[in-house]
Amino acid sequence: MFNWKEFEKSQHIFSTVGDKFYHADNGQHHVHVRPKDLLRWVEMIRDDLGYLTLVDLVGVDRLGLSSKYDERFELVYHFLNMGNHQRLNIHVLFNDNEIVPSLVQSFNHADWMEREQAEMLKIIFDRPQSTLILPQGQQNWPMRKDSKMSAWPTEKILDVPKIQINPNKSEEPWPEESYQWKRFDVFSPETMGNFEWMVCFDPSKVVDSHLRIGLHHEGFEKLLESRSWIQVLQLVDKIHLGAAPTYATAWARTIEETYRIKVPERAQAIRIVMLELARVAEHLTVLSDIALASKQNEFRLFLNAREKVYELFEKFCGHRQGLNQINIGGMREDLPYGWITEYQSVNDIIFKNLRTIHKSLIGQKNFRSQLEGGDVDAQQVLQWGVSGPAMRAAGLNFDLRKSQPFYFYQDIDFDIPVGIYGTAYDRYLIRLEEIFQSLRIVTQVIDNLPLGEIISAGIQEAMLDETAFSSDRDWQFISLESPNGEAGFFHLAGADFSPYRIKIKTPSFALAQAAPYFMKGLTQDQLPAGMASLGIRRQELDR
Amino acid sequence: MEIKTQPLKIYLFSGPLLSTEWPSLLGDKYVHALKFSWEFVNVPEEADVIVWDGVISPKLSIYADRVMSRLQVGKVLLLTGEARTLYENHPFVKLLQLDQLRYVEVPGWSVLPEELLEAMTSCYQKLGYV
Repeated sequence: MFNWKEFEKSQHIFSTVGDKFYHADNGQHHVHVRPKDLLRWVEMIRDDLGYLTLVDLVGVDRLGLSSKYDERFELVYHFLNMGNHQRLNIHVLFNDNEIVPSLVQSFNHADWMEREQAEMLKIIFDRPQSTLILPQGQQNWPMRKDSKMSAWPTEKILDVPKIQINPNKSEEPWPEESYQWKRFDVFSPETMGNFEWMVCFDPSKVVDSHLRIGLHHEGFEKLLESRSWIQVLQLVDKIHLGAAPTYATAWARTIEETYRIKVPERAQAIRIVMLELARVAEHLTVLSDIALASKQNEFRLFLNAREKVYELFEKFCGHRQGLNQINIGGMREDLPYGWITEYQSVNDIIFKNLRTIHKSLIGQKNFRSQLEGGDVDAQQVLQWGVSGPAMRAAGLNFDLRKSQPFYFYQDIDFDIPVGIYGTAYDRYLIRLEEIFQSLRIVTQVIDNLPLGEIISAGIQEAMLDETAFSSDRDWQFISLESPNGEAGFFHLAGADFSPYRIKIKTPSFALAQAAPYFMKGLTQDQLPAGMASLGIRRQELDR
Repeated sequence: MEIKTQPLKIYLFSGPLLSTEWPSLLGDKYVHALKFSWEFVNVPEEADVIVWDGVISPKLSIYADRVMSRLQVGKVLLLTGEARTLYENHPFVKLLQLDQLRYVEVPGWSVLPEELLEAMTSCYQKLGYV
């Protein structure tokens, strides 16, 4: 768990670089470096200080923003030390046309992050790269403050990649004629409209694959910049409707931490209840997807169980998904009369039914055989920056609810299930057990539900007065454990209740990048269930 | 009026807002709620009803033609979500032109399964089936 004494010790080490280049804020370190010093810093913090995870990368065009720095652009690399649970932000400041060193040699998953920022802001990294989300050959950089967008170039359908032909047929790479490329485009059920996927079989097992995202790119981050906090709160629910309070809570926490707004205890408790129920609903969706992909009729039973959770949401606020009940400084509504009794009966039903469904599924050889294969170890998971159930299935015991608990999580008794082999079967088991643990959390919170207000006093009046909020805080990164991994927001505050820059951190982005690697070695039969078990959500891939 | 014996075939295309609600219809609570049979299909060419939010992003435009050609032969569009309202006059996101298309609209960001079932019934009637 995060420890302030250890944080102060690290603070002492970092502060040797001088006040101009280092400051600590809200339990995170911030270091400012020039591009030429970036690689040296990254090597030092990774090898000597244990910051093994690059969580996310965000770039901002500071044009017109008052700042103590002269440079126009800023890249913020957010690192996590899983050992002592500390977070470090490295801010790289530079001007137009300056070259920034790439971190791909140190962190595999920096590839997509750098490509995304390069195409959004016209940042030049010292390696060749193609666009990720936007069409190839585009000449617009939408996240620049002075960008004037016009028509985009037309994209082409992915070509089948060429394979290097080896005349010696007994060694890799095997001759081209033995390979079989298969295209999963947006019409394929395997991709569920998320992305295009070219998979190469040898011909029985997956040996290579290429994945293209951005098909649903609708400029979500740019859209959020022109909205107020409250409007953003409504919109972020749509990032993942199936687990809606997750992003709304993360966004509300981001604003509350930036402006030091206190949330009443009862509102905190209700938020935990909704977050955990959303986790249950999302896990049931993924379990249903896994069962459907492996052609088991039990998928209907998982959906039936999910229906019970949605009914609880409906009784709470009238919505089944996209609850729209989180407010800055609290909740919009309290739990209605009779809701707790309803929850208790749903809890009993889900506990009982899930065990029966699980017994029925694991008794079928076909189901087990489709989920086994494609082992992933903890080292590989770290290299790809994957979080959530996919990470824990590979044996890493890390959950933000334990490592950086917020609200009442540190007082609640629950366990974190951890897998061994990192296969789809491990991910299935982890999700199943997490449902039971989430229900355990909700039961404890409801048994000890605090009394009192559900929204901070005076917050709604203050929202009408833009001078009521001021903060000395610059960048904030606030995240929480979503059903599929770490989800949160980078936020740089602007004027008039509007964000200057928002960067959405979604678990699906890292999962999609790692997916071609995770799927290696699977057979054609195992591929759909393997992909379904990752829980990649299409809207989370959008920016 | 034609009497339909085959199930109504529904294809879900690029409607991220409701993608998690559609599977609910496969659960026991809703699967037999309609008087006619229906099923999801994996290719748009087989579909009677195409579910779409009508938003065409730059990359998606290469696939949108395939769906639109299906709509132009008289199949019904089930227009979902209110994403279109966000992207009116957007510089690069295009919206599907609804003129001369047969469509049923399900408004709102969050839609109940009952509304989806009702919309499916409307689509069924628009196709001329009894």
